[in-house]
Amino acid sequence: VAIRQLSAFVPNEAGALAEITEIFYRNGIDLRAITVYDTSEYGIVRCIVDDADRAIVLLQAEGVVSKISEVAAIDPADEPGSLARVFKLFGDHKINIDYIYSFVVRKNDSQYFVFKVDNISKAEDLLRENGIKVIESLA
Amino acid sequence: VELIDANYLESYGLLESLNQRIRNNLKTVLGIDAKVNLVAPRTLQRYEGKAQRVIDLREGK
Repeated sequence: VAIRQLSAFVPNEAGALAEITEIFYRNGIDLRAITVYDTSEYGIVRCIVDDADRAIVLLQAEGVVSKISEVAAIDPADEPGSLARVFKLFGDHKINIDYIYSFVVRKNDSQYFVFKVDNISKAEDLLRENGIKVIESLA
Repeated sequence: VELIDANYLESYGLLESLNQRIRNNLKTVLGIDAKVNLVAPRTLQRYEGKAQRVIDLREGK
């Protein structure tokens, strides 16, 4: 069971991110994580919200090009080397990581890491087999 | 060029290859090597069908 992530196309200009977050705010969508990096003209905002299905309908209604994709999220042990272990595991099994970001979950004081990989089901199986906690739901 | 297909949001690589493909097609069909910018839908000014007269004010013309 993968986590659902929203991706939205935004121009690289002042106020572009505010438009997205305003839509979420007006409709009571709770933002859990957000990341963006840009090219010179545009960026892709990637975020995790409490209701991705409703959020994407709202974004598309406002003309924002957006889509939902599946990502793996883990809660690794809070100790040196725990991420290194994950990267090594993926590398050994030829799983390519497209991008990664992390966020803190206040209610259980955890830091989750989100991965976009080329083979998500294989990646999640490997993580579980190796005793790494895979997040099933963020709701 | 206005982006409408959300499937390209999977990665920057896909968006860049789309950009390059449009640029290559323009070059092949029109013979123009133009810089292509991807923008959000309905943000480009619509063609109004009016002639735009340009006066060349460069020196020596």
